[in-house]
Amino acid sequence: MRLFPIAWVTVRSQLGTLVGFLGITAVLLLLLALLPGFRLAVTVQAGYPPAVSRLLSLFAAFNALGVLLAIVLSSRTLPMELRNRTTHLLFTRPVSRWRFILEKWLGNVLVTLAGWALFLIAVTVTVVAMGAWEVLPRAWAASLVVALMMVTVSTLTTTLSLFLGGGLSLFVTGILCLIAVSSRGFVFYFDTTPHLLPLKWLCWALPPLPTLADLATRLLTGEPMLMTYVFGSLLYCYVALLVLMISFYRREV
Amino acid sequence: MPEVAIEARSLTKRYASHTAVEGLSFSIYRGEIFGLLGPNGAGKTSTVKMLAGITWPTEGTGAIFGHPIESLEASRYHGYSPERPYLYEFLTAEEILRFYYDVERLPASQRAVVVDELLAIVGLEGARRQRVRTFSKGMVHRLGIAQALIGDPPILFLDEPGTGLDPIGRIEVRNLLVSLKKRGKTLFMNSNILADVELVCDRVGILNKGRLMALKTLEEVRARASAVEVTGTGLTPRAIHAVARAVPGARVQASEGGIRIHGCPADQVPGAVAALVAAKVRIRSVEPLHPSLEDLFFELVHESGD
Repeated sequence: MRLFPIAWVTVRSQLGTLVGFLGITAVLLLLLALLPGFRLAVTVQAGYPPAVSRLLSLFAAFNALGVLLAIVLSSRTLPMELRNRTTHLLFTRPVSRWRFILEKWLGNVLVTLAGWALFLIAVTVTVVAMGAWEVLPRAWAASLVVALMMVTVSTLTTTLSLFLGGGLSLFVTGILCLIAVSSRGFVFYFDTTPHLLPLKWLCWALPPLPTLADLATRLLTGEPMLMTYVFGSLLYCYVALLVLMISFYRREV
Repeated sequence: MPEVAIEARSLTKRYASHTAVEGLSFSIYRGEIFGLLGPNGAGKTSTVKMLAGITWPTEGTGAIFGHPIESLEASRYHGYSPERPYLYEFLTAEEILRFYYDVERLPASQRAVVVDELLAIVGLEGARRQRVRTFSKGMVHRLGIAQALIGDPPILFLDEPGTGLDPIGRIEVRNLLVSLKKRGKTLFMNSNILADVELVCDRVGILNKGRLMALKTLEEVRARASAVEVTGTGLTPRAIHAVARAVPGARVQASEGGIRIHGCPADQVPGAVAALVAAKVRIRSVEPLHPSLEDLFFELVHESGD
């Protein structure tokens, strides 16, 4: 709190949402891990050894829920602060716009990563319960990729929320992520419809969500890690944050 | 010459096609208690928000102890308590004060002492662990003032400090303002509660439709004793016309048992009395009326066509 009070208050404001979200997620994960039909489907689909297959399925759920968590949490912070006018008192203090944005972003990242850490614990417990000890280090490594993806999406959502407000930014980022996850299919479709070419470029320009999910799969199955994906994600993060800071610099609160 | 604490030079604020404040210029001196009055929508809050650095002027400039109002340096010299303090409602009173203390990056070793002191000053020691969302309006107001005092700033901006409070809450806030005045703070307050302003302010400005109509000390307001009450018999309409002729520009109004002559300076009172005597009025008493701030306020707002 002493060093980053605005980040601290951001985390405090999100705790209720985080706990509620995690409660629902814990129930879903348990259901996914325990349902017999789910295990069967995974084994048939993936073609990997059973332990890895189950982990991949868990990570698929983990990715989706992590992204959703990042979007839900990040879409609220800036609009809430502006709507409740708590910024009024902050900006009568020696608080620069840069510091405010950076601390809000940091708070968002911290609360998102807190959610991710709890997800990780849930996954670890599930893996241990499955008895798949040998893939545990690779599961942890892959989860770091998911964390990076969550931070990227969180930054993107925070930036959009400044322009679109909370609800709309949640919706738009959600749609963007869906398109990104399915981008291969979309890209092929856009190839056959030339007037939709700009949408094809949009797909390529979206955060590298599918590639990060691929990366998690590759890590879990022992394939080498591709650093370009990580750099791509960091670049998105950096650009979104820069846009956010520049846009907020002369904005009336 | 006392040091200028707050200075406004042609401050103007426009929102789209609406001009909230236009060409505002004044200086407030160190240790002064200044009240900015005006009807709703006059531009009081816009003025205080510009001076406190929340919004930026469309035109003109302002300074706090010589530092431009938009600068971080200026914000080190003032605290701001809004009409409705926008506090984080999920935090407790002491967490709120700790938060703003940390935001200011003040020495950690003093934090607990300062928080205790401020809670004592505003009388919220008993509610220190209570969440703000459970507070009454008066408590929120007092906590708003406490947060404005963090860092012991020499200037305080108070936007409608008594609005929405019950009589006890208003008295508490008013006593707090008096104690701040004794501690040598420069206070800049917006208010619609003229009685409170009259009790604590040294100087007042009257704002209407974004323009400054008057800037006077309370002594000047009181010295503007331009109304006289005359009681007696035979105060007929003919006598009233005679007074109106004798004192050009005066407004004569019937009152209980007599008449009130507004706009009648002291040197014209003998002429008015002579006119009444000539009109066969048997005068019982002639008494100067001391106008309240409220009279001045209504007079100026009336003059401006509202």
